[in-house]
Amino acid sequence: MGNEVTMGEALIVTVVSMGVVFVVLILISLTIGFLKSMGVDKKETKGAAPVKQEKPVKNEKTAAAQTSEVDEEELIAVITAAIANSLGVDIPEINIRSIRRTPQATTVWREIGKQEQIMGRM
Amino acid sequence: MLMEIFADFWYSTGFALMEYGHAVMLLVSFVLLYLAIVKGFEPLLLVPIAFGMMLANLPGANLMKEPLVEIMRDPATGDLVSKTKEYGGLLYYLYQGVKLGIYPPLIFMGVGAMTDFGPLIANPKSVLLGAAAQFGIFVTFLGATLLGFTGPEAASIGIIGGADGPTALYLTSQLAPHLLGPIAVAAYSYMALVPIIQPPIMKALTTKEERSVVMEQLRPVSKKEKVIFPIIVTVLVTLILPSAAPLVGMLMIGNLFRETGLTERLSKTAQNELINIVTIFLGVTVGATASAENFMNFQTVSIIALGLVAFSIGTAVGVLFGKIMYKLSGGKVNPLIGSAGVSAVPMAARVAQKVGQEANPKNFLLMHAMGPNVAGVIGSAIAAGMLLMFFG
Repeated sequence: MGNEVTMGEALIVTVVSMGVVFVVLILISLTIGFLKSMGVDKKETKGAAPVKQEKPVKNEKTAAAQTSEVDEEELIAVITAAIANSLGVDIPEINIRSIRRTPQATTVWREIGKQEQIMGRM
Repeated sequence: MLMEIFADFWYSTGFALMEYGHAVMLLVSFVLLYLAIVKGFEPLLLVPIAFGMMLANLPGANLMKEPLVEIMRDPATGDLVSKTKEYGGLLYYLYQGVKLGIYPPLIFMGVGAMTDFGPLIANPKSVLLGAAAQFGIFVTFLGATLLGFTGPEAASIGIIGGADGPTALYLTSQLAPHLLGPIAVAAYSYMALVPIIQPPIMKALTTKEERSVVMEQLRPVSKKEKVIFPIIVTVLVTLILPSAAPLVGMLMIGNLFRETGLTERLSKTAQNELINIVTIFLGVTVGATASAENFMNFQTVSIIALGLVAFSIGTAVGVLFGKIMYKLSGGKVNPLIGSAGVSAVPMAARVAQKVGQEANPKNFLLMHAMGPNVAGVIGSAIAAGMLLMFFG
């Protein structure tokens, strides 16, 4: 195309170029989808799935004694009270079968710290 | 005798050679240095650009002087040979990296090594938002055509809307090198102003309800996908649009260095030492193209104005497209991430995060906005490739 362009030519350039930009990016998007459906990422997502295991707290006094000195009965009482409060029911109405500690990926403190850092850099 | 020596010396100094244009350009460079150093406007780029501008406009130093080449017939063989009679200035030689389109792709390699395409791979639909924001480029291109710029000039001005420094400089160096100075200044100044330009547009086009949409967490992306991505994109884009190969190819090789896990040294060099070295050369020499005759005219004023239009339209169309996706997804997509489709990585994504959090403190849009953001880099490289195909 020459140096001097008319408005009509400019419009054609615009429409064709935007069309190509969209088509190429849609193709990239489809390719990514295709990659995913090929099961390229199967292995890693499996590993990331949370493992659920029920560990009854009762009758494990030895383990508890080893790890911490927190009074188990008291801990159960506190957790029960907290659940009852958040559910808005009376304590006798709920029946706790097991309590297990879940490993936390990120702590609340860390999350807040991260947020503050990001805000600080903006 | 002594007076003569003094007079000769005086006439060789810059003071005697100083013209009105030089003085004004020196003032412009001082203002830019002030903006960069005191106000912190993209100092890593604006300091070299402004200093280059200053150096090139100090009369007598002739740092941008072109070499004088004589073509003559070799008396022995009778062939035509070229002989350099006078060598050019230092910056003239460094400038060849810009003129020949070498520096911007090298910078793109560093950008690739710094970019994580994970958010884009996790949410491929966000690619569309990166495409929508490129409308800013073409609306500005139309506007510049209306104002009487030639095709290649209008294309170079429009690309400012891509909000991507290396892409803008690459296209301009190939199509309209005489506009490099004003376009570099406009592109980098507006990029520094993204946090000021974008939020009012974003807020005007969205409701508070839309802005407070919390998006679902992105899925984790495997290493394999991240390694395959740059390879596939390069092959796909280059086959469709060969003229985008220098930019997309270098962006993706940098990204591959990053993701293989085996080429950490190369990745480190690309994103630190190499990009810094090239940025110094690029900035200084781009600044040095801003001579009085190239810079002090009505064109510069129009370019600065059109650049702002380009940025604003890119942001607006991105957000509007985000709104369409919000509607189509049944309220799952926060339209604010559309504004990040103008490439300015990661500034535009941070702005989306900030505006989103203002509306809803629990909102975390940063990673969602990174998807359109990095797609915008690819999108503006493709747009540049198209313009290069039409006008190159």
